[in-house]
Amino acid sequence: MERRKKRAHMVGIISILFLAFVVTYGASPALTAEPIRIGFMAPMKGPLAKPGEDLLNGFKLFWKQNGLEVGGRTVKILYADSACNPDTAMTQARRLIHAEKVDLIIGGLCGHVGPALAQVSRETGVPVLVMPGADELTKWDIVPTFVRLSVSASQIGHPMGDYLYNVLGARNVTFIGQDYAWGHGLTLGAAKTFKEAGGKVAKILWTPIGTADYGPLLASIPTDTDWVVANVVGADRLRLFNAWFNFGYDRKYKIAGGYWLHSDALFQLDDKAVDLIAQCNIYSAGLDTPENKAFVKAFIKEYKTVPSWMAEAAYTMGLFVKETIEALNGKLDDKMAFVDTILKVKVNAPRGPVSLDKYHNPIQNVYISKVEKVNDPVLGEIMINVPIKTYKNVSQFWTWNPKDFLAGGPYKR
Amino acid sequence: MNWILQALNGFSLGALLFLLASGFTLTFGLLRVVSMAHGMYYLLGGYIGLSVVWFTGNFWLALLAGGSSIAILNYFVNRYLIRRTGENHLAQVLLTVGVVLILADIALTIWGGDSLSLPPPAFARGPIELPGNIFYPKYRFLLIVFGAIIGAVLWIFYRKTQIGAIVRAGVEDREMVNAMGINIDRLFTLVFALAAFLAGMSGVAGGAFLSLYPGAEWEILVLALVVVIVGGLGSLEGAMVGSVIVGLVDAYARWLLPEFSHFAVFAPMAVLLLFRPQGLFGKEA
Repeated sequence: MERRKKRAHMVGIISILFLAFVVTYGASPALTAEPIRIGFMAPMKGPLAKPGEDLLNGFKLFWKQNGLEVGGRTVKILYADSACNPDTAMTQARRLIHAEKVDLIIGGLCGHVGPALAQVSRETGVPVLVMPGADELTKWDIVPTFVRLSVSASQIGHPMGDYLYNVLGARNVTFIGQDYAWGHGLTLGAAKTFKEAGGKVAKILWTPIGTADYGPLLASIPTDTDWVVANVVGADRLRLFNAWFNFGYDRKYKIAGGYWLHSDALFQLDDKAVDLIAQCNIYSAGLDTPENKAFVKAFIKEYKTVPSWMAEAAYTMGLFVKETIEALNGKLDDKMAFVDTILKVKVNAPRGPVSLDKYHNPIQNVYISKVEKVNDPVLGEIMINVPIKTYKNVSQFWTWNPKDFLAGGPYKR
Repeated sequence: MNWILQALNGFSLGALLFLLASGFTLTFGLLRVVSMAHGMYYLLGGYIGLSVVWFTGNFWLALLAGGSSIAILNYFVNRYLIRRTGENHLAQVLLTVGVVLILADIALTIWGGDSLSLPPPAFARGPIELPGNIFYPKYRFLLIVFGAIIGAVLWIFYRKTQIGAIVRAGVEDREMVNAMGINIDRLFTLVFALAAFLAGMSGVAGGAFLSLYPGAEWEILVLALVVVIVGGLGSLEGAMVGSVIVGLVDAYARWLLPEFSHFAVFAPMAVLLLFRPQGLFGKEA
């Protein structure tokens, strides 16, 4: 009696195991291949959670539209918090690679997270595709499996200098720049092309990120300045805007944003922002192309807000990944083949045509935008960036020969 | 002319810091509670004020709401958390930092990560023109006046009323006050509530000036700590003088040495601590 009961148990267990096996492996013969595992990193908590969320939303929107499937394989995205901290980013990236076995890592946001992720890519050979803008990573410190898909800081600095001199007619400019790697690239890049065109830099006011009060700083603008250029990030953008008008500086100088009034800052500004030159950047939400209009419409429908340039960058990362994996027919075992292929891919992104140079940085349009008020069918009356001048196919080396530029060394103050 | 402009800037930041630090210094001095949550009270008060402005459009109501909601919140934090730590300052630091982390993430969920600016009342918008072609934001001008009024009221309360005398006695010798039949617990609750009210209110005032964003809680806490340390723990006069000094140093440093503006606030503090560790108005420990 006892023995028979035991045997019945054994039969039961075996048949359950068999069933489980059939259900897992047998029932779906079409998807025998393992899913492609993509690690996506963005700051999800703390001060940079908002731009982090923009990145995430842009990336999610892309896969929502494309059904989480590419090259005959399903895509599984594993999220991790980079926390805008190089140590955390490294730990999380290693976790994604060793524990979660991801095929590639996408994301990052803060400039100083870039080198940390590059380091992980160097030690593991897993491709890392990033946002951050620290110039060196696609110039002097190239890692074979590391690719930047957004923009390097000075890449959008250079056209601004040209625009200042040749279009705005500025001759004596004061720059407000932020004192860290990304800020140096932006501001010194613009100062360089501006000086080469023949302009004079009256002064560069370096400020720490998180400058609480711009009132005192603005008093040190030299009085013979004709244009002031604002290159500020995060909460500083709004504070500079308020201080500029509250202290009456708009009656004394003209101001143009090199990196200032992005879409995510606009909803808090009043009408004084209208018609200001907002930014010189790779994306402008008001761009009039079919790709961008479709993207903006879908993004607004999904998230009830205008996409920021971060959101567009993450969406375009999705495009690049899809095109590359399709070109490889879903085979991701050879990591170098992945990098070689992505360097050849050209996409028609919402921000325009994007391809990569051999230094692993995009060649793309750069837009000077101003702020305009428009009526959106979903959001009502909103302010938005609208391009007023396009620099086509801008390289990170601007018009210079890469070898000469590299010989000059990085932008350092 | 810029010297005058910068002095005004210094006084306006000083006025804001005074609103925050006056309560802060009393919690240190009288209650001997090391509360790192004060910066978060500032930010949370500001956010609550912002929501009130969004719904009612009334700035004065926002000041009141920001202050009183924080006073209520603080009552619970004090009653159920801080009191359990007794005199253990390290435990208080850790505990209140934990409270900040939790509240900061709650605030992030509710108000998001954008830098939000609290709209000042209509009559305080735009610049006023002062003699000598100086344009100065009206709001900051009024903030200086507001800070001075609050300072005067607090000073009268602290120096000229009986409750003020008891508070001062409490700073000097807590046990003695208790032995004289005064309910020190009730007094503590009152002072703590006042400190929290001022912190919440300063968040509303500061939101229209420095804007509100995640991370602001630490930035402002550090400045308030400098004020308290320079002025001396538990001294109201110290908080007044300290906040004006920190405000002025900050404003002139931002103008003359913008790259060193963070450093400029801390260097004088370090020097002062070398020669007068108890701060300008502090009592020898």
